[in-house]
Amino acid sequence: MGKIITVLVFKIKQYFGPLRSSRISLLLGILVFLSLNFTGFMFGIGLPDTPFWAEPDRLIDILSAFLSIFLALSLVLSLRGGVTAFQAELDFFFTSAIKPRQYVLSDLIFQFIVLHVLFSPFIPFIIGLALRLGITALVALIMVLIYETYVFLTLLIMQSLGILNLVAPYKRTKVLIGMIMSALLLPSLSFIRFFPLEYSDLPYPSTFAAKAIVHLLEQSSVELLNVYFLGIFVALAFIFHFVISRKNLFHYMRPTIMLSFFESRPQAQAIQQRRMLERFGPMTTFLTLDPTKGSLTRFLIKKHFIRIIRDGSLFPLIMLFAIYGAVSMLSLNFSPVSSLKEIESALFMLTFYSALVPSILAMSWNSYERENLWLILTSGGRIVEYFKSFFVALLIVALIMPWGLLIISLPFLGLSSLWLILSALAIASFSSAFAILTLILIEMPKEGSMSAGYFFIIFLPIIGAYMGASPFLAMLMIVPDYPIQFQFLFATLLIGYLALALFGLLKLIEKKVKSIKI
Amino acid sequence: MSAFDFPILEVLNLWKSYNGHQAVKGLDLEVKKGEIFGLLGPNGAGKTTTLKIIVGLLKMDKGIVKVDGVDISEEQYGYKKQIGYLPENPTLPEYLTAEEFLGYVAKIRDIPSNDIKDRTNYYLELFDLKKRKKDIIVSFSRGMKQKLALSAALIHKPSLLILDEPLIGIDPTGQHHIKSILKEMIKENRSVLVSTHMIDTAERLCDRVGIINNGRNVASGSLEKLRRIAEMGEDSTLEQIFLKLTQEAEEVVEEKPMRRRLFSLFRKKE
Repeated sequence: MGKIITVLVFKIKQYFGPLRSSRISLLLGILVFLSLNFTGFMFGIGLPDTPFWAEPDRLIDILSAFLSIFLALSLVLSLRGGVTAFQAELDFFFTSAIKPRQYVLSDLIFQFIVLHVLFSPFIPFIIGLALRLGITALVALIMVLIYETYVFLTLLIMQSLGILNLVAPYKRTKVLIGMIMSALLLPSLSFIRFFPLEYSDLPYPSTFAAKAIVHLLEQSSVELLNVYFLGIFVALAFIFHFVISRKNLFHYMRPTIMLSFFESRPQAQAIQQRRMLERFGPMTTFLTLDPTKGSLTRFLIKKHFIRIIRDGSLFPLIMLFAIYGAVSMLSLNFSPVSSLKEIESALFMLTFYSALVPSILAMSWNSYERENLWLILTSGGRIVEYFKSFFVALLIVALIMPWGLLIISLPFLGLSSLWLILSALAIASFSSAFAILTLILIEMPKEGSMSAGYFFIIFLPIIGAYMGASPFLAMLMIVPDYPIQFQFLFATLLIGYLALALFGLLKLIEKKVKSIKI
Repeated sequence: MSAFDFPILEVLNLWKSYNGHQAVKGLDLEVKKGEIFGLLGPNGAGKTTTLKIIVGLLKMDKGIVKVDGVDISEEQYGYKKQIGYLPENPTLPEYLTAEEFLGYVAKIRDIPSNDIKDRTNYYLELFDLKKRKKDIIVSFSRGMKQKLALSAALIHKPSLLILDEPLIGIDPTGQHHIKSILKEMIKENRSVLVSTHMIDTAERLCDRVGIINNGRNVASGSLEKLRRIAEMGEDSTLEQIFLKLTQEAEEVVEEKPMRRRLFSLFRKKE
C-alpha cells in the first residue's frame, strides 16, 4: 500500500505542481475549476425547463450518449497505453522493485482524481438538479454513486485495454478497441439523422447507468435491475483488470504524451511532435526549403510552413475541423445561408475557429520551436523578421482553415457576404497577432499545462479574435437600418480602426520581440 | 602591440546574477586573434553564463564586453556577424534536413545566395555528413547533431568561434577531426574560445587557458605561466595545476559583490 501511495503522491505533485509555481497560476486554476462546476450546477438548475425533461426516453438517450462518448474517447487514450507515466517514473519507479499491479492501481486512483478536477461538472449538476426538484440528499448521493461507478468502470476498461494493447500490440487488439469505440459512437448518429439504433434500446453500461439515474429522478427510488446490470459490467471489467494488471507492462511503456483530451503539457507536446516527425517527416521532404531563392521574409514564411507540416502541428487542427465539418454537413442539409441571423452565427463560428488556429499553432511553436530560437538570437538582428514571417504564416493558416470549413459546411456563404470576408481577415489578423504577443511577453513553463502561461495562450488569441470580429458583428446588427451612404462611412471608419489597431499590434510585436526569453 | 596580439574578445569586470545567486563576479577575460583560448572551470563556475552574455543570449548586470573592439552593450546585433556559437546542448530544428538546416543558418547569416550551396556542401563533406544531407535531423545520432551544429557555427566563417563543451557526445575519431579543424582555423588568424571542464581537451587543444571558479578569475595564461602561478614543477599537468589553483581560490575569503562594485565605481571615476 505504501508504494501505491508514494507513486500516487508523486504523480499528483508532478501533474499539479506547476499550479504552485505562481499565485496567478493557482488563481486561474481555481477559476477554471469553479467555472466548470458552476456551469454544471446551473445546467442542473435549468434542466427541468428544457424540452427533454418531458421525454424521459430522450433524457436517457442523451445521458447514455454522453456517457458512451466519454468511454469511447477514453479508449482513444488506451490506444496510447491507458496507463500514464511521466519520464521520471520510467527512470526511477520502473527500475525499482514496484510490481506492475501496484503501479497500475496508483495510476487508476491518479486518473480518477485528475478526471474529477478536469471533468468535474457532473456532481454540481446533480446538486443543482436536486435543489431545483427538492430531491433528498440520499437520492442525490445515490445518483452520484451511480455516476462514479460508471467513471470507475470507464477507467478500468481503458486501463485494461491499454495494457492489453501494450503487451499484445497486434492488429487484432487495435481492431477490438476500434470495434468497441465504433459500437459506442454509432448510435449517436440518431441525434443527427434517422438511425435505427438509439442508446436507450441498447444494453450498454451507459444506458443502464442513465436509466438508473433518470428513474431516481422521476420516482426517487432505485431501479435495481439497471443497477444490477451495471454491477455485472463492473465485475467483469474488474476481473479482466485483475488478470491483465499482473502483466509486466514496464517493458513496453513509453512516457505518456497525453493524460486527457486537450491536455497539452509542453514537454508532452514536444514528445508527440517528435514522434510525428519521426513517422511522417521523411514523407514530406519533397517540400524543400531553398535558401538561394527569394527574400529572407519569404524564406522564413516557407520555413514556418515546413515546420507546421512536418512536425504534426496541423494534425489536431485537421482532426478538429474534419469532425466539425462532418457534423455540420450532416446536420445542415447543404442549405445556403442568407438570413442575417445565420450570418451572425456563421461569424461567431468563424471567430471561434479562427482563434483556435493561432492558439494551437502557438502552443506547438512553444513546445517544439522556441528552444531553436538561439540560432536566430546569436546571429544578429533577424528576430523581427522571424516573428513577422511567423505572423504571416499563422495568418494564412488562420484564414484558410476556417474558411475551408465554412465553405464545406455552409455552401455559397463565402461568396455571398463581403462582410464575412472582411471580418475573416480581421479575426485572423488579430488572433494571430495576439498569439505572437502572448509567446513573446509571457514565459511558458516547460513542465505543465496547469499554468498561467498556458491559460493565456489559449484564451488571448480568442479574445483577439473577438476584438477583430466585434466591430463587424456590431455593424451587421446596426447598419442594415441606415441609408447606404452611412453604411459606406461606417465601413470606412471600421476598416480604418482595424488597420490602425493591427498596425499598433505589429509595432508592439516589433518592439517587444527583442527582449524575448528562450 | 602587433595586429596578431590585438584581442578579438575583451571581457572586463563582468557581473551577472540570477534570482539572487551571483553567477559571475567581476570576471576578466581576453582572447587574442589567432589563438585557441580555453575557459576551464568546475560545474557552476560561470562558464556558460559568460558565454551566453558574449553571444547576446543573456544581459550582463555590469561590465564591458568588446568583440573586435566593439562594445556589445552599444552595438547589440552587428557584432554577432563576427561570432559563431555552439551551445552546450544544441537544440536543432529537427524537422529540417541537414542541407536545409545549414541553408537556413546561411540565409539568416546573410551569406550571398550563390555561395550558400557551396558552403553547405563543403561543411557537410568536412564533417562526413554528405550522405545524410537529405535526411531530416530527427533521425540523426547525438554526435551527428553536434557536428551539424558545429557546421552551423562555422558556416559564415566567424572571426571568433565560441564553443561550449564541444566534444561531448562525439566519438574519439570525431574529436580528433574537430580538433584539427580548429587548429586549421587559427592559421587563418581566427580565434576560438572553448569552455570545457575536460582538462585533457584544454591541455592538448588550447594555446592559453583561463581558470575560473565561483564566477571569478583564478588564473590565466599558457601552461608554463600557470605552472609559475601555481608554483609547480615543469612536469606538472594542467589537471594538477587546476586542482591546486581552484582549491586555493576556495580558501580565499569571499569578497562581497557590493564592495567590489564600489571599487569599480571609484576606478571608473579615476
